[in-house]
Amino acid sequence: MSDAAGIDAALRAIARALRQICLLQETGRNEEAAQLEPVLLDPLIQSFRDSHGADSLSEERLQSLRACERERAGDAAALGELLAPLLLEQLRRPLDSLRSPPAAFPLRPASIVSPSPTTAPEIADLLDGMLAQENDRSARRPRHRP
Amino acid sequence: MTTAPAEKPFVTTAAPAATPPITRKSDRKVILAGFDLGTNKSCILAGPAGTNDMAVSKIVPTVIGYVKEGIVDGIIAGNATILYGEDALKNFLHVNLVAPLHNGVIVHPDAARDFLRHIRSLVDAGATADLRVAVGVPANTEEADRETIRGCAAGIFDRLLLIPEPFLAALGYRDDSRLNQPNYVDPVTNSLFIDIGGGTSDLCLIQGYFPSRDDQVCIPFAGDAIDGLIHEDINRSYPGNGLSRQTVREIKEAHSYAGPIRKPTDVKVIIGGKPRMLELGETIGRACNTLIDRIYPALTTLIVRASSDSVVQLLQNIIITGGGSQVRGIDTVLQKRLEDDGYESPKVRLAGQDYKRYVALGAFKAARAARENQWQHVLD
Repeated sequence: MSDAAGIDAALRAIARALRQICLLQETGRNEEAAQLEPVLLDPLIQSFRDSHGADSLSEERLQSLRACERERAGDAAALGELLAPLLLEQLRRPLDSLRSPPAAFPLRPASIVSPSPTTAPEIADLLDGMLAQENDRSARRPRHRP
Repeated sequence: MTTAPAEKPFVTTAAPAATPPITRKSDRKVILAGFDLGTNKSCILAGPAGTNDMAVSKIVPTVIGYVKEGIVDGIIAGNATILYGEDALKNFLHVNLVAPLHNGVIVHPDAARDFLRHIRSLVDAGATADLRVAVGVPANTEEADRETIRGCAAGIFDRLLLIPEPFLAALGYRDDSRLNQPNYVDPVTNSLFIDIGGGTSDLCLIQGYFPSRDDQVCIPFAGDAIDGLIHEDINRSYPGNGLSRQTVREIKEAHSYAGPIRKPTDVKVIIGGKPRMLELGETIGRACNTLIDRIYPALTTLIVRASSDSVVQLLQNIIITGGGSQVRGIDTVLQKRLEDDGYESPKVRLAGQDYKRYVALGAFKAARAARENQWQHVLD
C-alpha cells in the first residue's frame, strides 16, 4: 500500500472509531462510549502518530474529525428514528408470506422479559430478565437480623 | 489415581499473587471472559473488550495438586508448591490432588480460590486488567452456593455474572451468522437443552426469554455418578482388581453406550502389571441406562411446560451437550422413549464435537453483550 493510501486507511479507521463512540453517546450509552475510547480509539491515534510523526495528527484536526462524526451520528440517529418503523413494515410483508405463523410463547410473570417472537432475542435483554428474576428472589428472601 | 474431594491440602497454599502495580481504574484495559467452571473440566475463553478477538481458549481439568512435603528439588518443574490442571494430574504421585467442586458446587473454597487465581493468570498474566467474567453455574444453583462462588472470586475477578449452564450452552450453540435466515431455528427461541457434565445433568427450556427456575432442572447425577456405578460393579464382579477411578473413567469414555445391553464388551486392563480382559458390557450399559432413567422424567416435565402452540417445534429441538453427549446412542434412546410415549415427531440430537466449549462460548457471548450496569461487582 502506498504512503498516501496507508495514511488514508489509517485516518478512516480513526474516523470509524470516532463514529462508533459518537453513536453510543448519541444513543445515551455514555459509559460504553467512555470504555471504548482507551481500548479502541487511543491505540489507533497512537499508532498513526508513531507511523507518521507526532505532528501528523494535531489535536485541532482530531477535534474537527470528532465534530464531523458527532454531527453524522446525530443525523443518523434522527434518520433511524424516522426510517425504522417504515423499514420494519416493508421487511415484514415478504417474509410473512414465506414463513408459517410464529409460535405463540407461553405466558410468564411480568418480571420476566419476553422479547418479540419474530426477532432473535438480544442477549443483553435476556440478561435483564435474569437479573430481574434474581432481584425478585432477593426481595422475597427473609431478612435475618444480626 | 483418584481425586480426593474430602481431603484437606497438606501443604499450605502458594504465596499470594503479586500485587499489581497501582493504576487508575479508567486506565486499565478491560478483558472479557466466558468461564465454564465444571466439576471435572473447566473451559475459559477470553479476549479484550471492544474487539472480536478470542485471545485465550483453554480447557483445564478442575483439580489442584498441592506438592507433598519432602519432594526432592527438581522433581517438580520450577519447584512449584502448587500445580494446576494437567500438570497436577501428571504429577499425581508427588501431590495431594484436590477437586474444588463436587456435583457442580464448590466444596473446597481455598482450593477453588487457588484455581481461580490460576485461571486469571492464563487470561491476564500481568494481573493488571479489569477482568470481567461470565461464569456458568448449574441450573437452579442455590443462593448460598452462588455466594460461595462470589466469595472465591473476590479479589481475583473484578466483575462477575453467574448464568445457568444449559442456557449458556444454547447461546454457545447458536449460529449467529444464520439468525436472519428464515429457516434457521434459533436455539434460544425454542429448544430444550440437556447439558450432561461430570457432577450434574442440567435441563433447560429456552423459549425466547430468560428461563425461570421452573424452566430448569438440575439432577446431581452425571458422569461421575456413572463412573461410581461402574466401579462398584467391577469391584463386585472382579474383587481385588485395584483399578483406580481414573481408569474406570477412561473405560467409560471408551466404551459407554445407552440402550439394549451389548455383550460381550471386552475391555483390556492392567492388573498387578499383567493384562487382563474384563467383560463389562452389562456393567457399562446398566450404568449409562441409569442416567437415561434419571433424565427422562425431567425431560417430559419440561416438555409439558411449553405451550401447545410451541411444543411441536420444541420437540424437534432437543439437544444434548456436555461430556454425556458422548455416550453412544443416548440421542437415539431418548428419542425412542419419547416416540414410544406418544410425543409428536420428537427429534433429539447431539451438540457435536464442540460440546466441551459451548457453555464457555455462550458465557463469552454474554460477557461481550452485557451492558456496563449488568456486571456485578465482587465484594471482598
